[in-house]
Amino acid sequence: MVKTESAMLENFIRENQNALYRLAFSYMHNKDDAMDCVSEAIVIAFTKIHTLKKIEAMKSWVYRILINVCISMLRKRKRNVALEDASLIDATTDKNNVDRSEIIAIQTEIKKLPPKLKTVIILRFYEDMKLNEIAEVTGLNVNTCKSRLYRALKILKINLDEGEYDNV
Amino acid sequence: MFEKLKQEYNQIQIPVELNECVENAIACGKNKKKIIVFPKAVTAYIAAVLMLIVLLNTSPVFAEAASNVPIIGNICKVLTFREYHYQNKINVVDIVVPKVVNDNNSEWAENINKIILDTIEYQKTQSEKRAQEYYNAYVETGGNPSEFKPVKVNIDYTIFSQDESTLSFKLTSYNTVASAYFEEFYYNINPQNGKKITLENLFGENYVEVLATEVDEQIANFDRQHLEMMFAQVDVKKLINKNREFYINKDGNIVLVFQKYELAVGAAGQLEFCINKELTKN
Repeated sequence: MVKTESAMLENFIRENQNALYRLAFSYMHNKDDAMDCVSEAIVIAFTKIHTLKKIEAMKSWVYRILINVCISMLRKRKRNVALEDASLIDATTDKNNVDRSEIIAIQTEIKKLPPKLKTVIILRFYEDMKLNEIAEVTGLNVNTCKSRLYRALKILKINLDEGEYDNV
Repeated sequence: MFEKLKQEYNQIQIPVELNECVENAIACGKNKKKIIVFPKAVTAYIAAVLMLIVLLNTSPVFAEAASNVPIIGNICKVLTFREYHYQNKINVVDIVVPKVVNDNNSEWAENINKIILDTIEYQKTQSEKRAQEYYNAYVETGGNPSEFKPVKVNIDYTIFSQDESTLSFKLTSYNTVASAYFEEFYYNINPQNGKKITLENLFGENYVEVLATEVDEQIANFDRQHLEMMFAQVDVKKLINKNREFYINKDGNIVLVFQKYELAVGAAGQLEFCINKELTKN
């Protein structure tokens, strides 16, 4: 089989489909919309494969497409995200019997963030990306990402009235 | 604190339908030309067999299309004839209808076009009818009309090669209410006489042997990851017959197409094997 860019994209998608789904889910907060976003992003990726300049940048490139799809779908739907999302508050996955009210509070505030700020939070804390990786995915420069991250944290801090986030 | 958030994130449940959804999107993306349509994940397959589609592949009209006196330099192309794009709360329809245009206005081209058009119109009508039925059933069983997920049908074509000696293209159909969610129809025609090009024409009466050997050899050269996905007991010879799907690419090489699950597990997707034209009997 010939290893074309298309084949590499296919492999990448298959191997990372769960991560892509989780990323979409963290924007859409429901299963069907998340799958729709993943589907659409995949189709767009194949259609625009010729715009990918470096194979090494494939991950950031695909992530960027997916995030843009999610954000535009959020805009289209203009959904009022339910403040209590049943799947995030799934008691059966909680093994620690920890008081989850804190976690829920933060998740709620993150959900309320405007899309651009939400993106940097998700990429930084859920996907564990460094600032330069975030810059690659979003197509912005590192300083813009940094300032968005701090702005987002500030908003979260104010809304949550906690002082724990200075060291992130 | 963010550690716990990350843990929750990593525990987001992956739906069972995701893999199917991803495979469909990959197949769709590889064929996509202009419009972006995303097939929706379906959790239940509805058994609606589109007999006409099956008939198309074995239609005598197609196989014995009228022959014309061949004229060198015949220009034959596949173009878009008509497009439908519309959406309402019950249906999302995206259809691109191809048409074979032949310099000569030959009868065989008209026959093929009629078949293509009829097939597509049929698919479209069936899909709309079914969509209305599901919508009615949905509402009658207490569903909320504004949450009804529209039924999608998307038909498009891909041209592999078009020149004086070969016309090779396919129709791809996605239909969320058919039992075969995704179907493809390959057309390989000699524009000089309008006759279908078959594997036997190309590789001689021994074509099964020749092609099976080629395919086996190519599989033997797969990397380990792909080898592991192949089914152990497949006799490739059994899969090579007059219904084997193939197309002829721009370089004149013949590409055999095996649909998902024919040779390997679903994760391998559709498999293609490029057979060098040097192997043909000319």
